[in-house]
Amino acid sequence: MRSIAIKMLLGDRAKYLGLVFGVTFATLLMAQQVSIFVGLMARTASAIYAVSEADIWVMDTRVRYIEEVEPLRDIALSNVRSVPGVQWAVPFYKGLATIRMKDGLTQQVQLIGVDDVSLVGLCSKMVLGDPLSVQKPQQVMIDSNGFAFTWPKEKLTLGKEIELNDNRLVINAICDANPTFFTFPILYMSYDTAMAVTPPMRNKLSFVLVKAAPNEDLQTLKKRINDTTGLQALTQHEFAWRSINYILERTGIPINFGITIVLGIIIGAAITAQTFYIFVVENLKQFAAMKAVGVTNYQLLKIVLTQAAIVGFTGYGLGIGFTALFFKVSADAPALKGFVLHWQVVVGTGVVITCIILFSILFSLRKVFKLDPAIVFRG
Amino acid sequence: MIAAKIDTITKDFEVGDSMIRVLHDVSAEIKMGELTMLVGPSGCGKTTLISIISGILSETSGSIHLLNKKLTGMKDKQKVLFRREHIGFIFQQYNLLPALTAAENAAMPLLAAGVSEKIATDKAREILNKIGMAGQTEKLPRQLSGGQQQRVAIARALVHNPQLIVCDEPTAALDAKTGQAVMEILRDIANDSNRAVLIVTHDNRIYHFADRILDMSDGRITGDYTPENFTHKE
Repeated sequence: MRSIAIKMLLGDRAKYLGLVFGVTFATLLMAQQVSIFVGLMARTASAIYAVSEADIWVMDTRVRYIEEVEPLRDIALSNVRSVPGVQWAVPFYKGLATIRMKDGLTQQVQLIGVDDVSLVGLCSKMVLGDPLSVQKPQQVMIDSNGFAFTWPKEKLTLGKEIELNDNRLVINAICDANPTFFTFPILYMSYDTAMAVTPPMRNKLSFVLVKAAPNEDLQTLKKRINDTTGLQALTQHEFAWRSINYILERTGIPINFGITIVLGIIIGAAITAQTFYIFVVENLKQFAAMKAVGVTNYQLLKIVLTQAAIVGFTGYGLGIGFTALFFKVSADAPALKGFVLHWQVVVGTGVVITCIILFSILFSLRKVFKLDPAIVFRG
Repeated sequence: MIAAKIDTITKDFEVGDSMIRVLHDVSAEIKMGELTMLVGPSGCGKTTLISIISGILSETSGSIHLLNKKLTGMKDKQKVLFRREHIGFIFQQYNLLPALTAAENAAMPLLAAGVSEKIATDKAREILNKIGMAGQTEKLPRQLSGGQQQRVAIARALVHNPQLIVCDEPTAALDAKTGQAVMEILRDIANDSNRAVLIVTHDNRIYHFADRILDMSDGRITGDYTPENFTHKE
């Protein structure tokens, strides 16, 4: 009976394609939107995960996420270094600034100031130039997306001069950094350079990055830093999730994506359920004839489930395929850089699509089961 | 030998708040080796009666024995299995599955019984060849004429070698010549002493193929005729 189910399904190409389209559309919308959402959330934490050397981030107690900087007194660095269990601690500057190009145009940028000696927190995936160049006075590194954003239509080149708060800076290195939540270009420099080119303030230190001593328990060390310095210490993972949760709780982004995803599910389910229902209803006389000649409800169930499985697998496969293709094609687009189709999204979408298919056939099956085969005698 | 014994069957249908009786104490016998026609005006209860005889509908009261088995009281699933094994159906509108070939359509009862697709379609092709459908077995219903489609339906009714063939207006959708050809096939089938053919029809051009004609009116069988008697009566 399986081959009959397949032939019945493929016999009406238009309806078959309509069913597959419904499932493909729902899959594509869900997988793509969820992946972009996950990618955006990952961007929120990418600046934290980019500093792979640090185990613990120390900050002001009022900081709720990575982009919210409450400057610390310089003494905070020494205080942290004095805590037992700290192998090393380095300063880390993070802030926003406006640069001026040679043509007089301005551009807002993210400034990252890393420890002059260790360069902990510096982007390590180089595209052009030498990362050690940032140790020299007035020399900085920019991310490749930021370069393309600032100087569109120009090839990546070293030696570009910019002005920041009346200070001349030279770009002598270009790296491939993971995009952050704010898409401004990222300008890396030494901590000393950052202190020199940013407006004078009493407190400028954004974070203290800590490496735990070997075999030191991070939770214990974290608590010890809290107790000793009165500052907030978070592990890398905790700080990343705190930043993600802040975006989830304080912005309309999850609601916006949630609505799109739910709409995708509803529209996909509606198209699939309606087309499947019509498909079954239009075949009712055939099902009735099959029942009359001795096909049981169980056999009809197997036929409908076979058809649903074929539609589901085809539509889901195409939907996931199109989503993967979308991310492959857009991999180099700065706006979508770092967005990928995670396996969890593939599995999750599969579960939802299975539910949509089962929901769709539920009503159709009820109609088939309750079908009176006597209708075949009615002309 | 009796194929079907119908004993004081009544059938009521619920319409809104009221019950309508469409069959009134109908009793009849369908014999093996005979082609029995059930005739009468529209709405007299012919279709209801063959639906009950073939186990598709249940009677309100009375009893029915089919091929020495009591159909009355059988569970729905048992009836389906009984139909699958012992009854062949030919419908007015053929009711073939458009996506299946003639052979696959004809093989349906065997496929439903769990016979492998190859054995079932081979058997269906054999029957189709016997009833003049050689060379048409791999065609889809839309590629066949009305007469050819009805032959496929006949093959579907015969493929599992049932003892009772129930036909609902088998010639209504066919022209006179094709209708006669189809009836000749059904006549041949009815000549088998182990098989009974029951035909519901309005088509007076085919009455002469019958062994018996049961005349129905207002939910009752009002006469049991030979074709000659019935023609004179009309």
